[in-house]
Amino acid sequence: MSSTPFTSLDTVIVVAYLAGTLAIGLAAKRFLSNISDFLVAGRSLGLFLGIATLAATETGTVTFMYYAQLGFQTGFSAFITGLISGLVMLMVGYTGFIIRRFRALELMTVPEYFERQYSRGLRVLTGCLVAIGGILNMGMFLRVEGSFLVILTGIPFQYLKVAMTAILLVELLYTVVGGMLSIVITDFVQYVALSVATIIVTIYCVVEVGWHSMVHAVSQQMGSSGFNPLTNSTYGASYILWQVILWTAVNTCWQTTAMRTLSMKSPELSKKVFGWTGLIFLGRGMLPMVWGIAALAALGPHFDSMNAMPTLLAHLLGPGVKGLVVAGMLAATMSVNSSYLLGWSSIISQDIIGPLRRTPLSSRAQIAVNRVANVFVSGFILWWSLWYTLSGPLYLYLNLTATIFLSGTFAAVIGGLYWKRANLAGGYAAMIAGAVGTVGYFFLNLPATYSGFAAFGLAALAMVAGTLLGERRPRQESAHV
Amino acid sequence: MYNGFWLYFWIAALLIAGGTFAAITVVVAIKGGAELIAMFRSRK
Repeated sequence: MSSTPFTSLDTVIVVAYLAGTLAIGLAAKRFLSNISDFLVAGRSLGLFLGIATLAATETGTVTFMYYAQLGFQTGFSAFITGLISGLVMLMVGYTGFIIRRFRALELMTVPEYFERQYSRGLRVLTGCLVAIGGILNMGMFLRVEGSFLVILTGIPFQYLKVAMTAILLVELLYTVVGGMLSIVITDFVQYVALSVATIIVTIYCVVEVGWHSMVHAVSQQMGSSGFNPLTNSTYGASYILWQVILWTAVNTCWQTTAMRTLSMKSPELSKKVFGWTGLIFLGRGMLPMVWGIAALAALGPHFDSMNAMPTLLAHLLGPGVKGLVVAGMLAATMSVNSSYLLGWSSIISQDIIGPLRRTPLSSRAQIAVNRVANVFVSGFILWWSLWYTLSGPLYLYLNLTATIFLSGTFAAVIGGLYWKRANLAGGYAAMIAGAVGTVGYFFLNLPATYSGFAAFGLAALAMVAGTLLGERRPRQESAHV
Repeated sequence: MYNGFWLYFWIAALLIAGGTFAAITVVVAIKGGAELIAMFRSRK
């Protein structure tokens, strides 16, 4: 198979898209007046903008890459992961579990809740763990996104670092200038572009490679375990249970997702946004897996699992269509990265630097600190992308870096919101135990499922044990709805 | 070639996922645009 060329038409489409997005993002600066505008868009989002920005934030090129890799490696069984992510989000939207109370508290970040419920010290500890886990999580994005774009456009591989840096600079520029207001506008444009690209690529894969060939390739390479997740060694019942817990934690306590909850006009609207976005998440998971399975059928099982999908697309897509898809994927890349940059830098400014100061910062100073934190986070992830070598599926690396803080945060938030006896000792114990639980994956080469389970299990046990053994404290009414 | 329950389960899941993904994209593109304009008009 040979790649189709990236034509002048494709280049014009991509450049026009990039220039348009940058202009729109920068134009939002004139509507920016305070830190609430910068971090949670003044809590003014309606239903459809909320859906667009939540879906765009959590759907990046990195999402397509890791889901396609799962499809390539484990066939149709991988669909279980997409199914869980969508169904869990639907359930969170239906019940309002955590998100309704979070929105009613009018927070700006998740660790802020820890100061209201527990103490300033625990807020700072949580902020540190969230920043570490979140930035390590984002640390792999640039390399994966750069590889995708380099393969699809046919740019020589030695320009990968240049491509990564260029992507980062564009998104850093409008995030630093316009904050959440810029992100909401660009997210909307990016949501439409990435959704259209997703649909186009799926149709191309099924039509060009053929559904029958895809089923045949999975049958031949994996047998029934390519279809049945319960018998597939990557998945099984324990994986499914861990994913349900993990996705519940992601949908409720993940900073970038929570920022959307907190940006909505009302708690009830937050629930509706999650319900609708849950339906989008079904496709967000399964459709890229179809691309990975198509790559398996077209390229064979010995191809590099991470690069197989973009290589297939480089061969399949014709002039014009390739430009549209690259623009769509750039949209996906920028919507995720800009929100993540803002999310993790807001943790540094609001939950680490802010609480450690004796005198509170003015709104203008908070924005300035946030912008500096944005630049710091960008520099770190660029360095990490170049330095760190990934072993094993990207999806599991992302799961476990998130679990560093999500396990403890999830236990302490549930304890704080739903258990009257929850206290500071329980909160500290949960955060520390959850982070320690992930050590097995990063340093002892334990399977991701075991480490993930261990982290969430230890955090829950520590929350209960710490609370029962710790000093009984009166409940702070400001932290409750 | 595998032809069991899970294949048909995943085909059904994929059709539902793909269909709702496309439908919601159209609705959000139309109504979200109007919402965006209204939001920024109210900020002027």
